[in-house]
Amino acid sequence: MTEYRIIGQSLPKKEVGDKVTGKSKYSGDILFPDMLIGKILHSPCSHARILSIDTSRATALPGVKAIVTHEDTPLIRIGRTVMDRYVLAYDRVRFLGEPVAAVAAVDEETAEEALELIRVEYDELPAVFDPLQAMEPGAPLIHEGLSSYECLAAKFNPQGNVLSQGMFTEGEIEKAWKYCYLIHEDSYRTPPVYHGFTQPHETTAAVDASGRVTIWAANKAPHLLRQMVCQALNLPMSRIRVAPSTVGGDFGGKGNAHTEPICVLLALKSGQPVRLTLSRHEELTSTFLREASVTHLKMGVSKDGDLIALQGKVVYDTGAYCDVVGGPTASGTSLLGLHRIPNVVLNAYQVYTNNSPRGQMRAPTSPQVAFAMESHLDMVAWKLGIDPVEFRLRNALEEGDILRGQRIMNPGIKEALRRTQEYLRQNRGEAKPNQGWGVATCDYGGMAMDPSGYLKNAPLESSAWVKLNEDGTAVLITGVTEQGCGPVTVMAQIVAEVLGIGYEDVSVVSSDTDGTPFELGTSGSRTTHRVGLSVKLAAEDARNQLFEAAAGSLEVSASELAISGGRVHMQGYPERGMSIGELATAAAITLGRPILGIGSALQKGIGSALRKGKPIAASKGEEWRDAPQHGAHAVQVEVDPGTGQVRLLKYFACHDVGFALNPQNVEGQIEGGVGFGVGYALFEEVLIKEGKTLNPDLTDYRLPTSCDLVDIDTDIVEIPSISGPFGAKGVGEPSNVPVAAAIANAVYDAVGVRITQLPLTPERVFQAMQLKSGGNA
Amino acid sequence: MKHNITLRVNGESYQLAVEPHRPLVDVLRNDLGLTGTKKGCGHGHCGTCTILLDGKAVNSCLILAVDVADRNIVTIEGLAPDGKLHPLQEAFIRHGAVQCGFCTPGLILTAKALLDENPASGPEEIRFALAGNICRCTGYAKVVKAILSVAQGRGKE
Repeated sequence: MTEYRIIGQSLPKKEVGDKVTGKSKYSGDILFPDMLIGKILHSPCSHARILSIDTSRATALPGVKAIVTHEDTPLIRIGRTVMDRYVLAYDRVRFLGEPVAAVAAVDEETAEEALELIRVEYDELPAVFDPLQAMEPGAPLIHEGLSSYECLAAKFNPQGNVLSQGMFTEGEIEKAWKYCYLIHEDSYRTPPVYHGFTQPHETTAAVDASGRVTIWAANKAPHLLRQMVCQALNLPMSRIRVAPSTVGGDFGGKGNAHTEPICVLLALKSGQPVRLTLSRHEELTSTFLREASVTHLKMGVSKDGDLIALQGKVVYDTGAYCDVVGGPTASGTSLLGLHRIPNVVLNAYQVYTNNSPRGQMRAPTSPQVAFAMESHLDMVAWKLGIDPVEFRLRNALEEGDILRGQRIMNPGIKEALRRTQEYLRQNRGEAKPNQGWGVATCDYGGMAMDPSGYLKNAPLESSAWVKLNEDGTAVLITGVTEQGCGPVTVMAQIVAEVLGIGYEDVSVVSSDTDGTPFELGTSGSRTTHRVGLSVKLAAEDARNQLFEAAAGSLEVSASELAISGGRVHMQGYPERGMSIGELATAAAITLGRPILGIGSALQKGIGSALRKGKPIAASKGEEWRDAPQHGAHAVQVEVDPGTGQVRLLKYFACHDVGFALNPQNVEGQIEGGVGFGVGYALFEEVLIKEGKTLNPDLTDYRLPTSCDLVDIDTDIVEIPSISGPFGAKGVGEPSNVPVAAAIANAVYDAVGVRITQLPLTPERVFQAMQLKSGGNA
Repeated sequence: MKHNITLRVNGESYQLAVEPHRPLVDVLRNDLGLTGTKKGCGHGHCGTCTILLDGKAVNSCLILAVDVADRNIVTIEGLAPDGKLHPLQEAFIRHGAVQCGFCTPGLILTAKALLDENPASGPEEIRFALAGNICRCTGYAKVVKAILSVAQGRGKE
């Protein structure tokens, strides 16, 4: 095992001093003396034509400085993948809560009063709220021109209200059922849920004298935000700067351009800085929630517990507007990423309805289908009389297995399951009434590679620059945004490691669209892997330039040099060298240019470097799936027989992260993901009836508190990836994937009821127990 | 109709003219520029606006500024006045209890109020005291450990 100085250490985060003292500036902390308050007028109808908008009375209200409607925008549809919405509704509204107009006024009270003075005439249209109904012929059409919409997704095959659908087949399932000893069928439902970050969507926008707009946004992908704002308002990128600010949690909900273009419009029209903050009511009714789902599974096994056949149908409600097209593909991975199943038919659908829009949220589509799959596997194990962990181990994929045409590399699932078994052995103890244990696993992420080592289908997502200061300290310039999971820290650690300097010697410029290269965003559990790779390559490039500069002065070849202790020196002879500062200062002469390391996540030359470490031969043309993010959880619960309330007693979470660049950060991501998943499992549900949200505030939308959670035992597995920096994979999202199923499985073990709908509220659990005991509980 | 009041914040006195309906959180953030106190919901649900009022942890979004004139208010900015971090701030750093940081000021002040009253608080008391502070990033795991480490250190004194 290689010894590293800086990476692999649990170093404190770069910005933590500012966070504990209240010095960090979030996007709502930027103050201007002449700042106005912006507020949005939302549609009261679920589906309607807009006949007229009259803002005259609102404009006349003293203190109102600007009002905007679609008339203030170029009528361009925007979206993150499918361009299906306008910044402000044009001729139709498609959900209750859709932005129709916005006001900027001297204070919040005036802005709210102005909203009430805006008159909008609607002509209501028939609406549909159930995705299964929306799929039927004759259902009200939500997007009439859908097939003419521009879409960035690889698969775009809309039909009626079905935005996208996917099918995967393997083997011959109709024949396969005959060979099954046991067949189990069931349906699982999950509700829409909310990201619940403590920092709401708050945007501040200011225009300077030349007409250039600066945006401080609660957004983790500023380069994409700039792109979407420019597209929506038909402005060149030179006129927009997204400035860095601390982001208070994201979980997938701060990657779209929803309120930001509106805030910019108000700033441009009023000529003053504007702050636009969403209330929790607006958050819960008009932002992109996690898609609700219905999953139907039919699974067949042999008597010994070999998986033979799986038939699945998943329907996602994507609401009135879609954030990212791709549920069908992703759900395939979650259902199929862990086990050998020779016969599969999987159909998945992403369907528009007149509910509020749906989008990315921590491991999009995975917690939904993992709840279904992991609950289902458990029921099959119970019916066969096989231990649920043994059942999963028996069928788990191994290195080299082929799944969906890809060869699986470095899977961690078996190791995670073995460690879970060991934990259960040590902690299970005697069975007590109403107490039970449940296990569930997860698969996420992974990189498609071809055997030559090139990452496939990976456009230039991340680049980084490493600049050397005259005293030998370094500046890392990266587009990545810190939203809490620690990327800025880990990137600084990588630079320090490669350049042989201290962690404190690396400062980071991040997130600013003016000063940093394009970055896809802190998302998809790709940041350590992709951004980390670009940073490592940039630091290595800087190092190579230092070697080049030193080789001449020291009269040796670059291959004889090493870098450590802030110096470039002959390998084995640290005294024969020069300081990094000297070399950086002299580079103008020795190299004819300043030293600037450049790295990109997709780069020529990776191929030959990786080929050396290639573990097995692959057939020509075959793809690999590198860096799968596998994990296994075990949870002990206690169910109150009188109320159905589920209480956590113990929680164990084991994840394969490839290499833990900062172990404390990795633990934090696992623990946070568990907390997130517990909310999904037990408390959270956006209740919508006929398009109207019944619980649009944090009293009735129940986020987990410190009393709902327990200490979490984490275990980190390190099976290195091929392409990640230092073998790293990812962990931010998979940690929340298995939780709901693990808890549902524990409830089954405790009281013998199988709940197939989330969340496991006391009512649902109690009613199930009543039914089971024939009403005599 | 503005009221002239004196607010005592972090040991300093501020003469202000504020309308009676304005919550303390808005006056602290916008009038005094003390943005360390956050406004996560405005309705007393999330706890990110927590400040200490005469030593007790309260939601400043549920208090009218005019009602707390001449009372002793401490915000997160008042915890390390000379740059020397409070043991709780140090513990949060050491234990990795800070991710996005938006809930951190509220958590630290709530913990301070708890430990000032009950220095040897155990894990259950800590979890109960934090129930009014939502954290979405950490699962509370390292937050509880950080506060416990300070409680256990103090308990030995």
